[in-house]
Amino acid sequence: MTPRTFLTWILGMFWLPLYMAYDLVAGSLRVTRDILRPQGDITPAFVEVPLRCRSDFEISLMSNLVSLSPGTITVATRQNPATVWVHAMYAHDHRSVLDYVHTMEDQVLRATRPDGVPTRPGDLERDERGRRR
Amino acid sequence: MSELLEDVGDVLMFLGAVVFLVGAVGVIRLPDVYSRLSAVTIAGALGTGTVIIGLFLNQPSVGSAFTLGLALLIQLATTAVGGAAMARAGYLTGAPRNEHTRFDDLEAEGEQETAPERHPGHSRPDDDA
Amino acid sequence: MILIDLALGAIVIAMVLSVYRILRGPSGADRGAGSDMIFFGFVSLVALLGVRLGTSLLVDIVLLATLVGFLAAVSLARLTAGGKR
Repeated sequence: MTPRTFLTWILGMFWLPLYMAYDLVAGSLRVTRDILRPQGDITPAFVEVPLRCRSDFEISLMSNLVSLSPGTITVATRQNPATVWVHAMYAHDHRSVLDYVHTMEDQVLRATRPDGVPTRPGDLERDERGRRR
Repeated sequence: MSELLEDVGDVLMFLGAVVFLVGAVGVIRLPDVYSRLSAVTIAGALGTGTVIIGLFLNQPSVGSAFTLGLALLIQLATTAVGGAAMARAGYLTGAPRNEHTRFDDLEAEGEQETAPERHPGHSRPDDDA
Repeated sequence: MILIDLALGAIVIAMVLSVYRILRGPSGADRGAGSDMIFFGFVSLVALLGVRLGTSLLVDIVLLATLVGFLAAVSLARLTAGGKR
């Protein structure tokens, strides 16, 4: 733990509620557009997302925050290795959903880890239909 | 000052009610269970949350700040936990899904596991060890 | 005050729409989503009535309603899932 990561930790705790409020409003606007238009462009999918979270608290916080943001919802959770299965309403490909969840995970880990955030893991190998090889 | 605060509170409560109505229209119009649960999230978190904030602006005091802050926190937790639990119940009972669903990683996971009890949708935190 | 009356009307219409979803189904989880909507509408109605009637007593009832709503949402989901978990 260096002074720099400690400062990131303190600021991250205050930043997380603001980020979630922004995410709630932005996601609501996006879903509202599809509710009110006659023909929405919804491309739903169930996506497996590997997480960097370790403790029970981090995993349950992460899965509940994914459910809280409109447009994505947690369907199942596994603890070891930490994974959530997410139903996303706007899943044009795997990469966009993984980026979205990992960006949120960055904010969560910044608030829960005093000793810095680990880097993102590489994506699983996929073919063009999204199946794992 | 307090009159202005009350007017802002009234406008916030009206906006919250409109967001709630939009969420209800979504529950009617969206095509499958999981999308409808997203609409419930809009109504419960943003709509009811805004109404509770508007109520606080109408009656600002230290006591109501604690009470309504706690109520807002519980309301957000209810939408998150209830939505996730309901989506899981829908998946386990095989609720009909949108025909445009692109891919299902959870289904692929179920095929790899041999015993149906070990399906990740069925796993509980205390039997992982 | 006219804004509060309009808001009460909007919440009531939203609850009626949710009742339609409960009657229509088609799956148990759809009905659960509709019931969740009804409960969130109830919490909003209590908050709006607190302003409409000008009393501060209903602030405590909002907190109680959210607490009961949490238990209702979770147990309803367990009920919908049946024996599976």
